[in-house]
Amino acid sequence: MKPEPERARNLACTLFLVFLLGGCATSPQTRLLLDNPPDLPQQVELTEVPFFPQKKYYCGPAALAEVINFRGGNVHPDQIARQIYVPELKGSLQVEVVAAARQYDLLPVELDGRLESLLRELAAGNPVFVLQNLAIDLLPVWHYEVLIGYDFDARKMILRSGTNRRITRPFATFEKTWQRADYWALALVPPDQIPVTASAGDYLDAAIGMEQVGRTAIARQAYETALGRWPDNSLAYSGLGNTAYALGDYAAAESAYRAALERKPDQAAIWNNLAYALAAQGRRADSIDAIRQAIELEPDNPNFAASLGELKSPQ
Amino acid sequence: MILKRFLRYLLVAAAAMTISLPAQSAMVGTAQLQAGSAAIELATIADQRDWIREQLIVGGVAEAKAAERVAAMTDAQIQEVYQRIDSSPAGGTSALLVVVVVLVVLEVMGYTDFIPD
Repeated sequence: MKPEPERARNLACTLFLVFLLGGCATSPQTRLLLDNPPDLPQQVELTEVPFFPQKKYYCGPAALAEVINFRGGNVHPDQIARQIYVPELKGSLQVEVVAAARQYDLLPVELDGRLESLLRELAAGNPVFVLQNLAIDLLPVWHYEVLIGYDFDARKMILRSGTNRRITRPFATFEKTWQRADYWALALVPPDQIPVTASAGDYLDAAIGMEQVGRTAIARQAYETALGRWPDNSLAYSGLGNTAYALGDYAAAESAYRAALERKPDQAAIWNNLAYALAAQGRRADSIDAIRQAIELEPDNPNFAASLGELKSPQ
Repeated sequence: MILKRFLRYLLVAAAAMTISLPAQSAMVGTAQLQAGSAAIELATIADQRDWIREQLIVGGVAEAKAAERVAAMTDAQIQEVYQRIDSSPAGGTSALLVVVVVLVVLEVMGYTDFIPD
């Protein structure tokens, strides 16, 4: 690594921050937070989050490696760079960060964009992967970082950032730089956990993504975890059914579909899937009853008519 | 760098998952259940996927790796990239690479270096 440009880069970073400090007019979330302090510890620092000094433009790979290794993975930023770095762009796409996290069996759960949620996640022991725009909207300077703590008394966030093992940034400044990156933040959790501030919808988005890329067993576990927190969520039951079916566990699929239907009986597509789970268990008559329910609910849907044809025909 | 200028139009955000495949197979997938009537054409997704893979290659990612990386994206993510492209003033054939920039992250100050393959 060349020392000269390295210094220049750090200097540039510093200048931007100074500029920001001068330019912060309003930080509404910070004000709200200070006016109504949440019931959380005054200080949190997840010191056990490892540090990988960033090389060149590898802020994405370095930050991602920090979180993955914190979660028990064993991966070097260079390895991750091969999955997310785009040389001509000298950077990494957010969609690829999300996709890479899945490959390490971590659910990339998008947080709700509230400053308080970040503190709540940190207090719960979850480092947060954030995007910052360290400059201005017109000339953005994007940077991925990992939030590892906060100090409420000093009103500062604590981060692993680039070549710095530990930096702090005032709440108000952080809010501005985060706002310019559309408040993008990810909690990366194993499938037996749910970020404390995540909504059912946000968590299920992550589980469905995992299912879609073929990490079926992980997705199944995530649906089960979701049902622990949101026991009446029909979509979580449906996902559990679909992943169980895909794994060949047809009896489990059947009971998950039935649980989904108990909560929302008018879902034709679930009746359809139930029909297949029954057929897979050799229960042909039950299967045809189920698909007829789907057709009754949506008589004009050609897919269910096609399902009936398929389920009626001998194998 | 020209790319940077377009970033602000294209940047980020958590897009709601809005799509999935139509029921071409007999089972209905979870993503589709979630999307309901918003399902889009399978062919469209496949085309978009292909296009994004090409953009990664243009962006300097090795061909085999690009295919692998695009395969790791969900339909919802592919769609997310596309929705941003449609609403951006940078659209158009000359802006191919720019468009991939959607959601890109650049690090401070530029000296060029390439990732060894």
